[in-house]
Amino acid sequence: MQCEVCQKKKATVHYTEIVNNQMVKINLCEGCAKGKGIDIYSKFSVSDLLSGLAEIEETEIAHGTQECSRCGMTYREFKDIGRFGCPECYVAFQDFLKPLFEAIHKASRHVGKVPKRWSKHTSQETELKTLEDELTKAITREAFEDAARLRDRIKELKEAKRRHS
Amino acid sequence: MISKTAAWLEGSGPDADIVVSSRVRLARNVVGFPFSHWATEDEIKELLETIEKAIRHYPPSPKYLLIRFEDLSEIERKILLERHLISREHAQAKEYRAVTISADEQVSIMINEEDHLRLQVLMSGFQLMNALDLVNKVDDLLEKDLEYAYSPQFGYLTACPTNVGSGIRASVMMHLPGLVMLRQIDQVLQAVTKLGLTVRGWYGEGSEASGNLFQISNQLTLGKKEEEIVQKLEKIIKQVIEHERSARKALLKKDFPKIQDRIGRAFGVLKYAHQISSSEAMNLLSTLRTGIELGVLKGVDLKVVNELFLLTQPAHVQKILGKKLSQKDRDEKRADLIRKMLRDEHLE
Repeated sequence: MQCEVCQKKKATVHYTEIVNNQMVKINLCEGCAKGKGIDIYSKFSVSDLLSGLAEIEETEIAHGTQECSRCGMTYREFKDIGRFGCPECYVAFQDFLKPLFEAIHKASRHVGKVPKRWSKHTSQETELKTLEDELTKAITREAFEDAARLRDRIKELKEAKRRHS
Repeated sequence: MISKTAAWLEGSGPDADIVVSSRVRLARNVVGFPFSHWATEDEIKELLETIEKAIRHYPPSPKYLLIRFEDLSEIERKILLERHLISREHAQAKEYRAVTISADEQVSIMINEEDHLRLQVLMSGFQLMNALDLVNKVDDLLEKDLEYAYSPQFGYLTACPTNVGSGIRASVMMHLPGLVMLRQIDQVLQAVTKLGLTVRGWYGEGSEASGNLFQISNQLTLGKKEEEIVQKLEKIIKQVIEHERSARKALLKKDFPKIQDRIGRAFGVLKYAHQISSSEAMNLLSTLRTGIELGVLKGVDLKVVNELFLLTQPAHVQKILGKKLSQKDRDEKRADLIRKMLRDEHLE
């Protein structure tokens, strides 16, 4: 494949740009790519992607100064660097993340592996809810022995949860 | 380490005549710390110590190395890069970076790379699922000691939004001389890219494809299970393998003497040259590899070719000679090394 600019050298840089929501592909040789200011070793740029999505850009201008309380990174900085400052940034910028992840991954919810700590956490939450439902039912049908047993178990779980957090 | 071939270059495993190696890596971060690029020196130091402790507690294999970058010279770091044990970005960093490597070099854990941890499994041939199983085991062990940054909605939280969710990157290194010679490679790679995969060269991100070697990997990490991501990649790779096989058959049928001539010439140059650049060496070694894969070249061992792929890389040549060399010297020493290694190899 020939370079589309000089028409001489072999195109080794396959550059993709998003202009007005349209994907534009350009094939360049290394020299012409450098001339165009394309750093072939640069990371995928989140800002390139974002600039193609007008509706995000509007909200983003209004909230560019929004800051992560844990590490101090602003949304503007995240956009420029293309990387988060710390895991808490995911909470600080969460309003913008859904559309961003939809654009990058065509999804915004994780469905894969769950760390053991979290699967335990999730199952404890479910158990707590079930027990509380059962307790209400036990009280309604005046099964006080059952209710006492359930109440103790709930207390245990809640204490364990408190200790863990 | 330098004296032996890494297990992933053994030239064994399923479809090893086309798929050189399979790799799966997981990106992980520890809760309570900024990402490596945003962390202070104190934080990154504390992180390193925390992670090292966890690795000593739950090592990836009974025998392993834990190497801090400050103990390595520039050449030694480049060697790790050439052996695919660390990334280009990681190799450029200096303080408070480290890597853990299992004795067979199948498992490596990069510490304080773009993410706090990058767990990687590299296997010879086409065996992505085995690589996924092994990397999951290493991950399960480490999470006993390390609390990973995770959210039920977004999954594993990573420095770059392109890795969030599963944090998985599965890839295969393919040797595709048939498709290149028949000029079908662009077509195939374009189709692969359209299916949401990424194609890169021998050294991953930002590197050019040389020696007919192409690295193909998944791009999306969020919204699909790890197994699904790997299975999808496997399916597409299987098709590329089929295309390469039929291209090779067609080539042999089309112009056998030409192919034979090309392979013989490559062998001749490698066996007798006195100056050779790493890119020329890589291209000729690729031709040699093609000869072996096609059954045209008999008497040369695939393992020797794989070994040469690695040993003729710039940092390896310099390490073998024990000193930093100018490019001209490197080209001479590289040629010496190749002549020596091919001394006993003869064409049948």
